[in-house]
This record gives sequence, structure tokens and C-alpha cells, in this order.
Amino acid sequence: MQRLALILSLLVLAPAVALAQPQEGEAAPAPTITKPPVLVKFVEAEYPPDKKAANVEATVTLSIDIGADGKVADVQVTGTAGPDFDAAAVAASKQFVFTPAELDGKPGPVRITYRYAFKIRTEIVKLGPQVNFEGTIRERFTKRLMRGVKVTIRDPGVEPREALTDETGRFEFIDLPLGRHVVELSAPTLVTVKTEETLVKDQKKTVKYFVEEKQEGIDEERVTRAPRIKKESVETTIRTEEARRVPGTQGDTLKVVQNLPGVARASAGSGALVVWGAAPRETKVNIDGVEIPNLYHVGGFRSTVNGELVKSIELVPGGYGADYGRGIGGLVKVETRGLPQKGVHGYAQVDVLDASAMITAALTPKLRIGVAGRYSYLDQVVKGITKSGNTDATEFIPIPRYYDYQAQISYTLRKDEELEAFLLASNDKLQRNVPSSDPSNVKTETTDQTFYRAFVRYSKLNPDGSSLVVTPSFGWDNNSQVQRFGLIPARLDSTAYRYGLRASYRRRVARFAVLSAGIALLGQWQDTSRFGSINRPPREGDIFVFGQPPGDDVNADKWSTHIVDVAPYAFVEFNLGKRFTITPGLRFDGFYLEGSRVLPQNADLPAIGFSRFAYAFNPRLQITWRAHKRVTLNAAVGLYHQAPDPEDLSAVFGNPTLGLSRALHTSLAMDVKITGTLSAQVVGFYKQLDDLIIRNVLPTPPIAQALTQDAVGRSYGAQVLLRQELWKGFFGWITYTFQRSERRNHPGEAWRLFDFDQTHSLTLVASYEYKGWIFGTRLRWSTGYPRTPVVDAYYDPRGDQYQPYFGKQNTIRIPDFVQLDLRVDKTITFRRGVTLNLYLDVQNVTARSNPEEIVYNYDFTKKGYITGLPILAVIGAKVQW
Amino acid sequence: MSVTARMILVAAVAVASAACKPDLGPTSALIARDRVLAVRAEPAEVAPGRAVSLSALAVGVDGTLADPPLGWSFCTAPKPLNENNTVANACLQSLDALSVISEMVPTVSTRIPDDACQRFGPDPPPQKQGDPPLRPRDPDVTGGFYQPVRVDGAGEPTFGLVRVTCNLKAVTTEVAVDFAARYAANTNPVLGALTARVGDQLVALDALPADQLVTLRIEWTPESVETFPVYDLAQQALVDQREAMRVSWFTTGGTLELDRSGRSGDERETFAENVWRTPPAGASHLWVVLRDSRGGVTWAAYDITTR
Repeated sequence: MQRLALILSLLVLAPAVALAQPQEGEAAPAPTITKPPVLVKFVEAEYPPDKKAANVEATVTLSIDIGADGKVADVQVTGTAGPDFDAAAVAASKQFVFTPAELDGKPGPVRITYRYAFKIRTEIVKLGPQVNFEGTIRERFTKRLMRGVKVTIRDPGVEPREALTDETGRFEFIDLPLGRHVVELSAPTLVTVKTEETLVKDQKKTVKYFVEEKQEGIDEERVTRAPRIKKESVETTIRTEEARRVPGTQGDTLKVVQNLPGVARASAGSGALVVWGAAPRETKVNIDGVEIPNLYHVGGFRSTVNGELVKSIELVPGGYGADYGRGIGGLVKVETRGLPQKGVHGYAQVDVLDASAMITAALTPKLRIGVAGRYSYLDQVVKGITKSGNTDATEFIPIPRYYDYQAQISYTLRKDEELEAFLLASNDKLQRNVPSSDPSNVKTETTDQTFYRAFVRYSKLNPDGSSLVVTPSFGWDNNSQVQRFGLIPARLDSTAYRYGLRASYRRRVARFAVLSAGIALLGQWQDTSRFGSINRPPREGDIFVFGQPPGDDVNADKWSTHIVDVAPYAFVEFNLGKRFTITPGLRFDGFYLEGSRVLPQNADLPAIGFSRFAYAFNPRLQITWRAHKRVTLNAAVGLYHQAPDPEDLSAVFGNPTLGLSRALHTSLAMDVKITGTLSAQVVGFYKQLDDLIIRNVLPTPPIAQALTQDAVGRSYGAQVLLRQELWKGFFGWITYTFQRSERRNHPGEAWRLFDFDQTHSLTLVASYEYKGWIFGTRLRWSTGYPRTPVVDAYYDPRGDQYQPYFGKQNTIRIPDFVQLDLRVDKTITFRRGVTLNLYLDVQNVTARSNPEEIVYNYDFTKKGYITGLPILAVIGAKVQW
Repeated sequence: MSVTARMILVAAVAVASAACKPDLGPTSALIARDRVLAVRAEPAEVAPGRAVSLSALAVGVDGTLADPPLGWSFCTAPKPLNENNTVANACLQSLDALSVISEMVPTVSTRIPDDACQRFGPDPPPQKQGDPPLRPRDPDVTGGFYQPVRVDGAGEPTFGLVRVTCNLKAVTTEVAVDFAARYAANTNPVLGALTARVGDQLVALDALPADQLVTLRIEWTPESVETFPVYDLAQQALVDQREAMRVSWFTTGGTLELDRSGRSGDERETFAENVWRTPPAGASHLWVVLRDSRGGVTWAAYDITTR
């Protein structure tokens, strides 16, 4: 340690001018200094700061008058070193105290010349213990300071040293030995990270660490500071902080999935997810491993789960691992966040769509609860402001009434062992009436969809790093769709009870291998009744014109089904060196299908039911090659199977003998880490689909075979993603997908475009925070959906309507969709952590008339387009504490 | 809601109104070319193998076509389940799916094919030995099955549907007996008078003012609205259903407010109305076609002179 030191120069004692007055008339003899003054109290002068910083030294010469009492009477500068040095020297020397000088043996005043020297000298001073290694730890995505993270210095042959981060995320170590150290960061909520630091002589090391919080089922992986090894071939994970800022989502975290690569744009009024050419029902949505039927409410305005409960959303368009299945499309994994460990927190939000609120409380250090809810009123708002009798808006774009609520209880059993209980509920009601003077043109629609899920999750992290997660679940789904097109009814009612059990175990079985094994069981009892037109609801592959009434052939059926899938699975991650990870996996899906009717009802004849088993082996393989510290290649291939829906097992409207549909997924991806927060991804994919369910095309099909299973499909394409994670207030991504999805209805037929094919899809999302304001934008461009052209028409006099005659299926398209959305947020922070967020979310700011559907005039000789909402502005406010 | 609040809400949430749906020009009510507007079978409901007379209302810009040379064919192809129209596409595109009845005649008398209930009805179609049983056709909401009849010669092809009397299938004996006792075959409705009002004033049809709003009212006889039993597939029981009546309006001039009007089965009125902005002074034609929900039809034509 250096130290500044002041060194006094020797004082020069000069004969003083006597201060006594001489006698009158005589010259007094000069006194003799018999004892010089001795400095007994020295006062250090203040070194002028700028001179000290500039390492400037100086000497000031002073003339000091010392009184007979030894105190300083006066100080004069006789040799200047500049005003600041002079002033400092004078101020200090005036406080000197001397022993009195003696003149002729008696105390008397004297004057001395004193040289005050200002010098800088480095002096090594041995000090006590010093902090030589310190730092702060933040969460990687939110940049939140992390409290309670254990920092362990692990050196071979030495007892580990530990420190815990404080409230400011800071840690420190005192007098760590010099040299290289292994530093480990760990906490119950963190993925354990290790790194190395080297301490050198005379230097204090100050670091900043950004760590990643754990996700479900992941044990303490021993990874380097690089992000954890990817498990899926292609995945896009969005943190909720980013998700809330995307325009067009009205702050709804889960709506961001619609903007992710690989997701085709849903048509207006639809919240359907079309991922890599898969129909909406083929992509499964899971929340903490429990399947839910809908990610969005009817109309796609909001998600069915409160976004504040969500920690992350992961979309895997294809090639996902063996731990999930039952779907031949993509996978959406929603992970809930843990409840705050302390205090009472919550929010309340209101905008023109709905109102929502949430409150959480830590009742004890171990017990935490949370409840959330949302209720919509957009339908009332629209009714109130549209012109009386004008039903154009709701005639084409459904505006539902919805609500959802959630409850969560978390209890910490022991360290690294937790028990959580969840309740999810969602309801959608939609009512549309289009009156007409013509009774056959009156249209009514009533939809009522409800689902409940209750599940418990037990998770344990063992000392050896293995983990166990067990999730039993129960559910109840109720759906009712009642439509009437004039005299033609179409009604579908179903009530389902679901039960499930998911258990997964993960552990490191060797230095280079981590095993995950588990079982996923899902059962569903369902009672279904259906009455009306066989063409409603429409199926993928049906050819019709928008607004065309359904066929007037009607029938009715009531049936029950019980479908159970037991799926044990296992996969192993082999880390071969630092560059390769190979993850082979196998999932066995064993289905039991049971139904109440194998043939349509015939008078009073007793029903003959059916039951059968179907099974499928689903091998999966993912290979990751970290070709460079910034470049990772992923390849994935896998087989997937999906059971028929209960609605398709009707002996009248479907086919009770339907089996499993199958898909082969292949993908190849390259991820490039351009900077710490900027990344790029290129993915190529191919999917082959077999045994798809389609309507029977025979004029007179066999009984109980209104559906067949000989359709096939294929999807292929490439997507590019450039993504900037939250960095200095900015985040965003741009993604482009080129893809082609085709179907072939029956062997020997030509391939046709899939109903939801979108050749090009471009999405640009950007958000920037500046001084408490957040500005966001979203630009979307996508190819329109395919449609079948009308090439001719004939007149149906019974219905007094023209009927279209179609050309080749799906050979024309709705024009491209282009839309720009903007969002502005302002957060005001009050005391005690209360914040008020005001936002304005404007969709389609340019008011572009985007075509949504093709319509024709009465005889199909003229064509036009129905356009979507020209502009939708949502303003809202959210209070959070 | 105050005006201010409404304006604020409009600013906050702008919802498309009339801009959603494009205007695609005149509707079907305006006759601008030769067309067949209706096909009538007499009797209105016929059993397979029984005689039926078929006639058509063929019109053009100069009025009803007298003795139009029409081609008549039975469609023989049942409609597949994946087609949403009323008849199979095959009957439009393939001569193999047609059985010619007669050509170049305005009306025709013929017999309904013997296999009508097998091709288009609930009777099981013939099958080869060893093949699984075949799916019977689904009825319409009135419990009916129809034999399509193609009419050519006046504009685009037209497919009339002749209601065919078939047995009730997959029901208990009691229901079948009850149905047989109660069901009466459909009959064509009967039109009453057409009246016109300007404001509250009745105006003769040959003295309608030009370019004025005229309220037209067409009536039908109460007996035209028949009640009949239908086998409700959902309830698995016979329920009574009352016919809905629909009126289609056509004209060669002026503008009709509605293309169609009518009464549902729950409504007791036996008339329907429309508003017609009459054409400029001169001659025009007006047609009214009345249909019941079981396929029965009748029509009337009016030669109008506006002054």
C-alpha cells in the first residue's frame, strides 16, 4: 500500500528580533539565545488535492514569530511555492506549539525561519486483511440483483471457502491466496455455474456474474459459464420480461408465441397456433407438464393463463425430446414462476379488453399463496359503440366474453424440496346473432368453452444433484357449440374428465452422461353429443366458400369414449468431450381406446361398444455439436404419434376404428452467438405425416366410416432468426420463415396445399426503454392462406341460392397480410415499490385493409375480400406492488 | 352514455363497421339475364316409381319465358360427405351422372327413379357380398330426402330437388307405425293476393308511381303452412314441425330492399312484405316465388307499368 508522507525540513533558527522596547537614550545590548524553542506540537498541512493528484512537490519558507509562551504569534511567507502550498503551510504552522525559547536565561520571543516541504513518497505499509476478490451477481435476463447466492472457492487440497451475496447481490472474499481459483455459484433456484478466476499480486479482482435460473426438472448441471446445453433441436425461449413488451400482445406474455419463428399467422378472430405446417389440434400446449386445451381465449385476444404467473414460454416447432408426446405437431411449454418469498405483492390492470388482478403473499417463510383472475367486457364495449343494428364487426370477427382465474400454493418442505398446488380455470362465451327477414338466412352462434385443471407438483433436488418431479393432475372440460344457419342446425356438446400423472427423474449416471426417465400418463373420459350438419364444424381439407351455409344433411349421435395413454420414456445426454452432446431417447406410447358405439344407433337395439389397444415406439435423437465457442449445430430426428380426438370416434360423424396418426420430424439448426446478447439461428426442417384423418370422399361410404385415415402430409422449409436479448433497454428479434405444407387426401390423388400453408412469414419485433418509457413495434408480413377458386356456379331453386363449383383445391390465395403495430409504455414508480404502468397498444397503425377472406356475389361472378379490423387501439393501466 | 364518453371510446377502440364487407353489386333479386327461378314438382312429394310433373319458372329481362326449350335430367350421383353443396359435383361436370328425361320442352311428366331412396334416401344401397354395409343418406331438417333434377336451357344449370317419400329407418316399430299414420305428403303452397301500398295508401299494381317506395305484401293461404311429424334424431322421437315459408322476390327494374323474406315455423302470419323502389316510368316485371321448408313451391308473375 502506498501512503503519502509529509517530511518536514529542518527549521532554521535565526536570531530573533527582540520584541522588548529599548531604553530611551541607550542602545540595548542584543540578547543571547540561551535555549532554542523546540517544536512540541506539529500540525500536518493539508496537501493541496490537485497538487497531490499531479504528484507535485514544493517547499514553502516561512518566518514564524514565537511568543514567550511558546505559541505562534505570527507567520509570514518568505519563500513562496504558490498560493495553495503557501496557504496550507501557513494554516498548519500557525497551530504549532513550541517550548519557549530563552534569551539570556529567561523565556522570550524569537523569530525563526521555517521551511515547510511538501513531498510525496510511496511507502509500503503492512496492512491487515484486505478484500481482494469481490463482485456482484445478477439474473441473466432481467438483470435483477441476486441475493443469497452461494459463492464457493474450490481449490484442490484446500478447504472450500464460501460467501453469500447480500441484498445488493454483492459478495467478497478477504485475502484469497494469489493464483488460479475455481469459483462456483449455486442457489436453489439457479443452475450451478463454475468458472475460474486468477488473482495477481497487489490487485483486487472485481467481477460481474450473470446467472440463469433453473427450469423444471433440471438438476444441478455442471456447466461452464456458457448457457446450459440445449436439449431440443430447435427451441425459442422468451422470458416474460421481454414478452410483455411486444406490441400487439397488450402485455399478455403468452401472446408472444404468435410472433415466434415457425408460427403461421392465425386468421382474424382466431387464436389458433399453426406451427411448421401442423394443424392447430396437432400442437400441444403444456403448462408445467400439464396439457391444457387452449392457450388463447376465443378470438385470440388473451391467453387463458395470467401472464404474471408465467416465467417462460418455450416453443418447439418440431423434433422435441422423449419427455413429451401425444402430438404430431409442435410443442408449447409454459413454465410458471415461483411465488415471491417475502411480502405481499400484486397488481391490478384495466384496459378496453378486460380487467385483471393478482395478489401473492408469503404467509410464512415456507408457505406462499397467490391468486389471479381476469374478466372481459370487450363485447359490451363493442356493442356500445357500434351503430345500432350494424352487426358487421361481430358477424365476421368473434368477440367473446371470457374469464379465467388461477390459484397457486407453494410450500417448502425442506431445502431443495417443494410442494406446489395449482388451480387453473378458463371460460369463453361467444354469442352472435345475425337477423334476417329470410328465415333461412338467420344465423346464430353460441359457444361456451370451459376448462379446469388442478395439479400438484412435488419437486426435490437431491444432494447428489439428481432431481425428481411428480405431478398428478385432474381436469374437467366442457364445450358447447350451437350454431344455426337458417333451418340447418349444428350442435356439438362435450364434457370430459381428465386425469394425469407425470413423474420425471434425472441424474448424472457418469461423468459424461445424464439420464432422464419418467412416465407420463393421461386419461380422458368424454361424453359427446352432436346434432346437425355433418359439415359443421368444418375439417381441414373441406372445400367451401366463406359464408356458405353448411350442407343441409343432418344427423345426430351420442357417444362416450375413454382414451388412456401411458407413456414411459427415457433419454440420456451424452457429453462427449466439450463439443458433442448426443441425446438418444425413446418414448413408448401405449394407448387404450374405448367407445360406447361401434355402429350408429338403430331403434332400440343395444349399443355395441369397442375397446382396443394401440401402441407406438417413438425414438428420438438429438445431436449438438459446439463447433466453436460461438457456433452450435443441432440436428434432431424423431417419431411422433397422436391418438384420434374423441369427437372423431362417432359412428355417425366419424369412425370408431380410427387409429394413431404419425409424424416423422427432422431438423437441422445452426446457432451463432454473435455477442453475449445477440444471436442468430438458421433452421431447416422436414416433416412427414401419415395416417391423417380426413373426410371420406366416397359417395356412399361404408357405415360408421364418415372419416378415413389414409391422408398424408409433408412440410418443409427453413427459418432464420436474429435475436437481441434485453441489452441496455433494447430487445427484439426478426424472423423469416419459408415453408411449404401439403396434403394428399387419398392414395393416388395429387398433392394439394395444406389449408393453413403460409409460404412466407416475416416478423420484426423491437422494444426500447428510455427514461422510464418503453417504445415497441411489431411488423408482420405473411402470405395469405390458400383457398379453392370458384370456376362455375349453378342455381339451387329450393334454397334460392347459387352453389359454387370449385376448381383445383387450394390453388389461389388470400392476398398477403401486412401490419404494423406500436406500443408505448410508461412506468411511474412510487414509494414502497408501487409502480403504475400506463400503456397504449395500437394494432395496424397504418389502418391497412388486410384481406381476411374471399367472398363472392350471389352468383359467384364477382369476387371481393372481407377485411379485418382497420385499427385497434388498446389503452390500459396497471398498478403493481 | 354521453356523447363525450362515446367519442372517447371510439378514439380508444376503433372497430370496423361497414368497411368489413365489400359491396359486390346487385343482388339476386335483379333479373338481368335468362334464369330459372324455380322448379316445381306436382305432386310436391312423390314415392319412387310414381309419376310426377315437372315445370320451371324461366324468366328474362322481357318477362316470363313462354315455353322455354328446357332440358331435363335426373342426377344419379349421390353427394359425397366432403362436398358442401346440395348436389354432387359429378352431376354438374359429368354426363355419366345424369339420366336424361327429356329435352327442349318447358314441362315434363316422368316417374321418379325406383332406386331414389337407395341413392338419395335412407335405404341401404345395394352392396357386393362380403363388403361392409353402406352408410345411408342423412335427411334434411324436415326429415326429407330429395331426387335432384337438372334443368338446362335458361342461363346457368339449375338443380331442382323433388321430395321423395321414403321409409323411416333405424326406428322402432311403434315410431314407424305412428309416423306412417300421421305423416302426410307435402303439397305445394298456394299464393294469395299481392298488394301494394305507397305510404298508407293502397295502390293498384297497374298504377304504381315511378321511382317511389312501394310496400309490397304477398299472402298465402293458411292451409299452405302444414304441420308434419319429423323423427328427431337427437331425441329419438317424433316431433311436430310447422313449415317455414320463404318468399323470393325478383324484378327487372327498380330496387328491392330484400331478396327474400318470410316466416319461420313459429310465426303465425301468412304474409311477407318487401319494399320496392319502383323503376322509372315504363314497363317492368315482378315475380314472387313462395317455398315451404319441405320443398314445395309456387310462383306468380306480375307485369308492372309504373307511371
